Amino acid sequence: MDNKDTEKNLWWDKCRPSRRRLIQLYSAVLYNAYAKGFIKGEIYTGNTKLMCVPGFNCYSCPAAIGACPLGSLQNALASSGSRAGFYVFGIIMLWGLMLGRTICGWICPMGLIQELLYKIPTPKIRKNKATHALTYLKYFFLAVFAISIPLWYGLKHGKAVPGFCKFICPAGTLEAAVGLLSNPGNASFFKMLGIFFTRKFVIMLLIGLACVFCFRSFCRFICPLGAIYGMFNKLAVVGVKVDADRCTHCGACAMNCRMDVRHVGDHECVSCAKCMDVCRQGAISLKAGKVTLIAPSCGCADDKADSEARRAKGKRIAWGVAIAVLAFALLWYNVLDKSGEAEAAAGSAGAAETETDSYAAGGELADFTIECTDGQVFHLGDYRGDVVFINLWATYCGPCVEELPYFNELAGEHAEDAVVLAVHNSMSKDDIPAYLADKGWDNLRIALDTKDKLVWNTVGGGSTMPQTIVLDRKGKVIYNHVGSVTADLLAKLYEQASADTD
Amino acid sequence: MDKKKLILYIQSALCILWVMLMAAAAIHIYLEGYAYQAQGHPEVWIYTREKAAAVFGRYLPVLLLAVAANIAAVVIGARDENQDKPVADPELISLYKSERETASSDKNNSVNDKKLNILRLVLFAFAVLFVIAGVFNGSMEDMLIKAVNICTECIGLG
Repeated sequence: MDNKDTEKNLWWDKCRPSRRRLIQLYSAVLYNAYAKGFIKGEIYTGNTKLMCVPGFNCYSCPAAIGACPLGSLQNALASSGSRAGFYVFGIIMLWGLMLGRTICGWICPMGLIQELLYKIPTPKIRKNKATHALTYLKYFFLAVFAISIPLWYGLKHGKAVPGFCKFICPAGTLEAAVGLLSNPGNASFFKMLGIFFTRKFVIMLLIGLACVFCFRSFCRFICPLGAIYGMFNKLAVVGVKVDADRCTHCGACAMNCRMDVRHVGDHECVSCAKCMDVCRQGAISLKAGKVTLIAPSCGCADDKADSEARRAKGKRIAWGVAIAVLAFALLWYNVLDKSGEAEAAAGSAGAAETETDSYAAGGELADFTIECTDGQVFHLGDYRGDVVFINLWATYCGPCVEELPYFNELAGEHAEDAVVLAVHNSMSKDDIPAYLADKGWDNLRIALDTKDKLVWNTVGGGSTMPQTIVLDRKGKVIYNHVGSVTADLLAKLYEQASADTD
Repeated sequence: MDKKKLILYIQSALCILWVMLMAAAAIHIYLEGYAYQAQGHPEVWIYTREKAAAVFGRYLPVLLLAVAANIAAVVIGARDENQDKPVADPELISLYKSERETASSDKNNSVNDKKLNILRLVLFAFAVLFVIAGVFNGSMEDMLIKAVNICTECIGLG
């Protein structure tokens, strides 16, 4: 009996989650407290998305309650033509100055996923000169994909192209794309999958596989956010610090570290504090300024006030507060908070019915009237007998801007019996007429949706863009889908809308 | 070969196999669908829920085998022990030692500490100013707008 108990204790001692793992898990759940989003297949649209979370967490994940700092940064850079993204720069700087890469080690959900993948028992690739060299790759990803591409497209073409999100980000593919696709209500999202999805899905699989064999591969070699926070590591208030008086420069800390650190606290150090276990001098501790958060296990920390009992009490209080906060967050976001609900309801269940088969099967839109940017009024009822295309777009949506020239061409070609109404999302800080001035989309009727989202609600628009609705000559909906369209598809839809009523 | 090592290799092979099969299937679906679309069917979906489910189902046994191998590895305590060993490359070891020495000498320098503190304060002030400026210049609202709307291409949907 005793032996069994001892065995059980040994197993538990070996396998129980560390404090850091619990904090990683805690922050992942807290960042994604809107669990209801997965059930509804929609993203959270409340005001807490005004705040960037410190870690890497896609803001299009159905459960995300905050904004992704990297996605926000790219979008801020893409909007540089109209206004500088001071807010995002400021928040990222604040997180960097307060926590540096401690964020990567303790409160980044992507870090947690990578470490769990690394737990899969396979032969492992340890750090070496090649991995040291590869760490500089993330600065390339930062410079090219997260900074240059958004800036180039934003300033040169007036188009939002968040390069890293669009071409690489595995968090976006896993949390947002797969997260949204896995909801049965979003079955029609499959319609828009093509080369982008294929490429990003394969990249996600390969990054995941790399993480199985090589510790935190994404974090070490690719993550632009880690590259940014790394630059703040020396300045960060919280982080692993070395007591220079105790340190014998044996190098055991760096030799045993799985990250590519050259010395503790450098730009690769994620302050996981594992090096404390191998430092025989007890020179390493995790500190917030002068306060010791984790003291060396040899008990030789200089903080006399940090007695064992006080620390234990502090720990209990901290965990109590943390659990209360998490419980409140879960309750608030899933039960009490109604922000965004009205919108979703008005949007006829945004995702669930957005590209509904009922519409496609011949539903009829309610009549509406809206004022266009040229001052004229668009009244849907006036276009009975014509083919009507309604496109939901926004200046800050790259694919929306990309496909509008196709609509413009189509409207020009079939001016006599087709009309295209492009309705901009009501949420905009841009001057739409000024934006349109040099676009040459003269064949389109363009309108800014009303504050109460008249058109959006009428056609069942959700938070996903672009969306296209096609009405045949009798006013019946023959197509209502989220996602980009091609010129070929538009031509086909025009033919179909004409044929349906011939 | 040692039983523990063998299971590690089997697990590796299964992980690689599953990823390759899934990736190949995604590429295959895309190429096939794209070719069909190009033949004058732009309205046809490349991916469908049924196709995705079929692929996942087809390769599920590989995934289940990998899970089984994982369980077996945990039960017999198979893991790459080398992952816990310190770096052995003498060149890297001397690099770490010299880096540590340099870092420590920097830390001993109180002038450096003062400079760092000043820089920290200046950057902190800038960060706060940026946030305030962002509230007034509309970039805060910009961020909210982008965070509550999904750009399909940006998340890889297309």
